[in-house]
Amino acid sequence: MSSRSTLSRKPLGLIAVAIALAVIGVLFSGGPEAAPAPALEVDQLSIDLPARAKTTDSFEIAVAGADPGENVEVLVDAGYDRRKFSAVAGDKSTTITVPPMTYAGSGVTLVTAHSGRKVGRASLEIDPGVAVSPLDLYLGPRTVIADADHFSMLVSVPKDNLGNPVSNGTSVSYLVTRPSEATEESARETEGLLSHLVVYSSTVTGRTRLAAESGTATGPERSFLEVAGVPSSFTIEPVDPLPPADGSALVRLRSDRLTDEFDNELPDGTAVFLDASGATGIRRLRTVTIDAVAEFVLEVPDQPGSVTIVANASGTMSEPNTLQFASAVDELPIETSAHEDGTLVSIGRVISARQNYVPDGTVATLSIGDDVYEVPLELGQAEVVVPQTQGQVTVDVLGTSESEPLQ
Amino acid sequence: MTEESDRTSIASSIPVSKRRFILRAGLATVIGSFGLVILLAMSQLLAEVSESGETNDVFTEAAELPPSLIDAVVWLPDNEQSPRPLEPLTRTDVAATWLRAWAQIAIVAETGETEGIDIYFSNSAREAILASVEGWQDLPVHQIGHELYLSFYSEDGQVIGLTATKANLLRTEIVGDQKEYFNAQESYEAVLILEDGNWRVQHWVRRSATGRWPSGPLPSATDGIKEGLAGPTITLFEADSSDRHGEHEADDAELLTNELETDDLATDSASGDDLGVDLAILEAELEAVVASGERSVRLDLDSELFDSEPIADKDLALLEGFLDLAAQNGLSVVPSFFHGETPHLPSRWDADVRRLESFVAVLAGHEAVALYELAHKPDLAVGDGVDTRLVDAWISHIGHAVHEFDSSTPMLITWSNREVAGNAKLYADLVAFGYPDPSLDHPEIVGTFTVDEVPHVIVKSTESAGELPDATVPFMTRPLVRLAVVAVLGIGFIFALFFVSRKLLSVVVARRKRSGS
Repeated sequence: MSSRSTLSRKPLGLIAVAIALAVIGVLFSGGPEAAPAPALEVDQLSIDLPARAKTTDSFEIAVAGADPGENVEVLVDAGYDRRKFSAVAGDKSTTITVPPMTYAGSGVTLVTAHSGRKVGRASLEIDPGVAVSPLDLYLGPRTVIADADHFSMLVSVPKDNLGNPVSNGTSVSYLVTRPSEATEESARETEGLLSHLVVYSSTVTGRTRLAAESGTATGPERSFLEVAGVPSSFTIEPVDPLPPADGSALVRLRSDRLTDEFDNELPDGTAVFLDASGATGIRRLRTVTIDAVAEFVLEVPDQPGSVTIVANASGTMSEPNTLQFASAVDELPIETSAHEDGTLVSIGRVISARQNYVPDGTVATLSIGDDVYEVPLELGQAEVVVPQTQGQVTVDVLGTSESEPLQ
Repeated sequence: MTEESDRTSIASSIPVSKRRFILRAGLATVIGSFGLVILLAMSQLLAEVSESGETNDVFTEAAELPPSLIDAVVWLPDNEQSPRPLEPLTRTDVAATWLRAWAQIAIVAETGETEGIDIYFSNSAREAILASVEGWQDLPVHQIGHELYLSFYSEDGQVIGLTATKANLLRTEIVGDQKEYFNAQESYEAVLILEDGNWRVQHWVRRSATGRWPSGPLPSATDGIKEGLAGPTITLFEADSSDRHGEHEADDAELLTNELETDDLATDSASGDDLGVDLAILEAELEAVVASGERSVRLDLDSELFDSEPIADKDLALLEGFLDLAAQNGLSVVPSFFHGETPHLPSRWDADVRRLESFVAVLAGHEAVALYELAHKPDLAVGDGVDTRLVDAWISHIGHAVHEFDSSTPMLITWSNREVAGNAKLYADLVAFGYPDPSLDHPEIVGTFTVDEVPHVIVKSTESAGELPDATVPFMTRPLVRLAVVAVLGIGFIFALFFVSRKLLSVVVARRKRSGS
């Protein structure tokens, strides 16, 4: 029994010792850290390479200064594209051939070589190729006013077959075809990777088309619309004879032809606003032009009087036009008679200016002193009992009034 | 006879005790080997975590555009011939696109993830980057600052011609098996296109590239090195911010007792001084330094008093007032710009340089200033997301910046100890390190100062700075010692497992015997 106890304590003790050693080891060792690397030997590798190369060229990099037999690593950093090369150093210098580029990466290309702790850096200029189709063309604005003052702009970013922007100073030719089919040619050089042409509008509306060309490269057509600008003065008149002021008839109002100072018609869809004030109160109507004409439909007032109309198209106001609306009521008979609850007022039949009953629903307003009653007419008549028996009742229908003493 | 019966007869021909031993030995060997592998793997993991892993984490965070990096974009006056003026919000968008495009490159390099490329690049730029992912991997580029110039903005606001007249970048290179950094200053021409409401880089073309490796000497100062410097450290802060500096003041109290009673100077804003501090108290403290026989003070500028960005004029005026007082008392001042504990990530470097520019504008040419301490124990940041090469690159960056602002005042780098100082790949005019015996008479020692009760010596740097006298390596950090510890642990582990398995087997055999009987 006692020997079994001794056996079980031995491994436990050893385990404890092992764990303690492990903890101490982890605390103090911190892992197999590498010894500090020697200092860099800056510029101890010399790099010989051409000052310039084309993207389509391969070029050679000669690295000297590496210890013979040592590996020489070279990183060619062309902006986006990074390529790594390696070779074993020879007795004199190590030559690495960099193949032509397969992706964009013109401009200053950095070459870093290292061997052991020796490093060297150099650079060369990679020239882009000539422009290829299609040219990247950006046009805007797409709509300009045809007043020979506003302009659009065509921006061209020519690039070579790998996608590199072409060299600054590359000429780009532009052809502008006006709506009249007249053409204008001009040329601009690229600067800051792009070229741009400012195209001023003419004084004739229509579509102006643009094309660009650089060497043999061309691009898609771009175009913009030249449209009329602010209209010159215009008027607005009723289309039909004015109906009487019955509060329900509609009257059409129409502008004359809306054109700019160069007699260009305003494009369809130009918003025009009409302000009507007077017997109608104050109203604002909106419409859009069709064939350079704006047309409004105005509800006539419910009482006779004048209405002044003014239209506004792109900030240009029409001359004010005052419309006179006549009374819509031709006859307004009323009678009063005694009633057990007061006085019975009989209205009608009310005959309109067109010799028919006024429209059903037309409101007759009864005024007795400070008391006001409203009653709709049906078939041009209505009856109403008012509690008053003294005084006078005044009945108003569509601005026409008649009075009668109460019974 | 079947095959199974053959095996049974062979097994039964081996004695039981021998079979037990073979079983135990085999089991112990397998488990021991497994344990050793785990131990070594853990050691390796620890080493990796303290090196590249943490560094990569830090840089990935940097790709999230911290405010300091946004402030690191400087716009030159726009091209007056540009067809359209750049709207303020568009300028912000364009700057963010430029920064984020570079950040995406860093993400590709660090993680290989290319999802963000579509967001910030288009056309041939996008194609070229996606085709070059392998070339970027493990070679991230980190941004320090950019100087941008608007060369073109199209009338309709969809095309921008941008020139990065300065793109300050920290490029990663692998030299041998070591990661190194190259502090690059490059310039680019670029075209940005507005697509789907986002600005994207359609092209960028590098137009120039210069830079330096953060290794070797920083530019030397034109002024001579003032010798015989000795004195305590002083930190300036406002007394009315006692809550904010509570912990700091507790340390001060100890220093006031144990050192020269001048390690920190609290000033009373209630005195009504325009600066919010009482220069009379400072003067009294400086007189105390002189009375104690000291000839210089080290002025810690990495204090909360100068935290604002840009540094407030009143705080710089306080600094100038302090320098004047020091000069009146015949004391030399060693301004110290940065503590070592701060991880100075590349996104902060431009802000660091702006801070230095503010300081040096006051310090340069002042008769009291003896030298600049660029950084105090920057090696302490190593392991906290930063490796030694990054620290060197940062010091190189700020060292060249300070030299550009003031080329006459010598510069000093202080390291934690002689071993670190000896291993430094980058050195300024002077090097300092903690030294147990400041009275050591060494011909290269030009001065001493005390920080947190620890004496430090200042030594002239030379190219042989790696051979500082008596540079010792702590016993437990020697590679052979570490190897021996790992070996002992492994062997101990095997023995422990051996005895455990033996115990288990004996228990099993005993039970079988009991059940058999």
